[in-house]
Amino acid sequence: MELKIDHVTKQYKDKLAVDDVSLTLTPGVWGLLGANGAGKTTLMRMIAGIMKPASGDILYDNLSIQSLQGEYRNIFGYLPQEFGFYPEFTVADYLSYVAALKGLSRVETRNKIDMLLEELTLTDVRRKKIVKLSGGMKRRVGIAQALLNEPEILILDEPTSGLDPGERVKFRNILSKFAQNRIVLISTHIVPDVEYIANQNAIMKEGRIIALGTTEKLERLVENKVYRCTMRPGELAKWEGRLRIVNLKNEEDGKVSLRYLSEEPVTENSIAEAPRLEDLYLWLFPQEEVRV
Amino acid sequence: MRLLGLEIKRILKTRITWILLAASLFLGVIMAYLPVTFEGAVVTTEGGEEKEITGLEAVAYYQNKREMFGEVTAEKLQEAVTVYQEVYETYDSQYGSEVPAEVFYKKLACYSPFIHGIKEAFANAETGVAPGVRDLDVRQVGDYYDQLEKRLAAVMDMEQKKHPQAKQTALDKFARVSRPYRYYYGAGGNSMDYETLFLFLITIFSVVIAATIFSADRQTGADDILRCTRHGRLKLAGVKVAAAFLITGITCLLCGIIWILTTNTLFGWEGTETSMQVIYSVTSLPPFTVGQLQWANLLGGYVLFLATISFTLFLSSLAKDNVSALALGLVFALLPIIVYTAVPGVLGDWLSCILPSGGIGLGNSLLYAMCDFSFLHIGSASFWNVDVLLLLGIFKIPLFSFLAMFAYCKRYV
Repeated sequence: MELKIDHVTKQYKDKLAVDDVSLTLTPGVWGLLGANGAGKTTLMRMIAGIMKPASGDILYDNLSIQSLQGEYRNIFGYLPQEFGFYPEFTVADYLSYVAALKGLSRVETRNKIDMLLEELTLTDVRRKKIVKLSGGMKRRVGIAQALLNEPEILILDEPTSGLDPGERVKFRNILSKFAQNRIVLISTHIVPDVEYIANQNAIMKEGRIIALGTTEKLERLVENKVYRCTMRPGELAKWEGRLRIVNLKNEEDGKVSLRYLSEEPVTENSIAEAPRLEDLYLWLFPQEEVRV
Repeated sequence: MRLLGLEIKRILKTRITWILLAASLFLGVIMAYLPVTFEGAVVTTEGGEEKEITGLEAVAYYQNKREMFGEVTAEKLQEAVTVYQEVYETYDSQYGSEVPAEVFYKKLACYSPFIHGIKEAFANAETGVAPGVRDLDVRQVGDYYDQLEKRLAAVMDMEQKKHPQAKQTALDKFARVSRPYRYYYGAGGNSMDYETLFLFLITIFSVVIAATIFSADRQTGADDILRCTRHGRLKLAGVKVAAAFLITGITCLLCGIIWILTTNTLFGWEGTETSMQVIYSVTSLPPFTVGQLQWANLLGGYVLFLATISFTLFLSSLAKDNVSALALGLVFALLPIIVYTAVPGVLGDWLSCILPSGGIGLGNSLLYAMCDFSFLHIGSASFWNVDVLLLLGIFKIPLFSFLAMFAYCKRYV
């Protein structure tokens, strides 16, 4: 099973949102990282078949998804960045409605909904209107609908936005379990969401894939560019505008500890650190703040 | 079927839908009752006092004035003219304004439904001006039914001078009208106007419901998920169209039936046997009784209603948000009224028929078209407006439904 994105381009009036992207997705969890506006959502909408590429094609097992139509949608699950729902629906009504659209029988629907609500700790709110749920709960309802048909291809656009840390950990575990023999593509700019569960990562910038590989392989791209040092708080102002500071921490001795990115160490007491995926992310997107 | 049930459930869960459906039901009853309040009469009590009665009391009074009920024979019409002329001469009145109310109700009221028609039948063939009551020749009134076709021919000569086929079509249609006419007291022109107003309001309510069927998905973003599901394209589009038709269509039909039942229960079912020519033009073309006219107006209006709903669904499938879908839906629903008022002549007539919601309105309604002698012409061929309205309506329903589904399925950002 593979999903091949073949030289796909999409242009909005004066902006090239996706620029000749080619990528072959195989079973496993894929992280799609990039800053806001990098083209991730546009690419995902094209994979979902709700947006047509200006050029190029998306192929599922060598067949264009445009020609597969319902067959493709039958094995597909999608959670968009903005989870839209009918305000009048309760959680159970909404999931039943989507299940019917996904072609699940009544029995399958009942069993699947019970299971997902349990797994996503939504059982207590099954009769509540979605509109009255917290942001995190809404997001979990969105995740539940995407998993209803046990899709072979699961596309999740910013799935953890609004989830608290505990919920995010739980979600990552559910996804890791689910991803066996399936293609799961998670778009995010929250690096830790994919750092530990993604088998492969693609990093998008200005509509193009600029880096691709396993977490370890990508981390090597910033090897010898991550350092740690300590300094007095008074010295910090001197470095703030000049260094890409990943992390700042007040130490017990009154000094501050800095984790920063640089081609060369900038202080004598700097020591090289093992790189992480978020270091690469910040190296590639210097304007972004670190989200953990 | 399961998906259809879920979609209907979804639509019915919105508060605005419930409010509008309840309002439609309420209107069905209130619009039937309001014409009752227009009824009035002056009666003399057992003590000899004159008393004005209104509403259902007046309806009961007229239901018991049975002298003229049944076939409207030439003899009855002659009697009506004779009595009218005697009273008018007594009060030296030309138009009846000098006749005291109590005298009118005592002597003339039971004949009044026929007098206007008799004057119309004997109107001047060239000018169309109707004679006064005192100018009518009682002997000539005996030829009332022979006069009707001459009158229709004169009307068509005046209104469709350059279109002989229109005149022939009108005469052919009128030949199917059964004569002598029949008359019983019952729901009349006021009630029919209220049925038309009621259909118009239900159409507007239903446009509000239908306008958001597709656009709500797009506005809320629900669309993105639904369209990625196995049945999320053509089947969902079809289900949405079917659900909208079922909800609005059943409501319209049900409320229309409630209106007919309420109206005739209030005014009396006997009145449904009255020939429509007694309450409208004596040469009206449809071969209907008032009861049949009520159903024809409802069912014909229903076709135009469904055409309007299907076009609204099409607009909804194109719109990006509810406000624009609603605004466009209402503008197009009201457009025939604006065209009827603002665009005169042949162009206005054509537009009133061609527009998606053609025939929906008041002055431009199907009822008024049925009572009218307007024809549309293509070359030497002439078509009665009513036929064109209904034929186009039947054509528009599948056309716009298909376009709505097509637009939904083919929509790409």
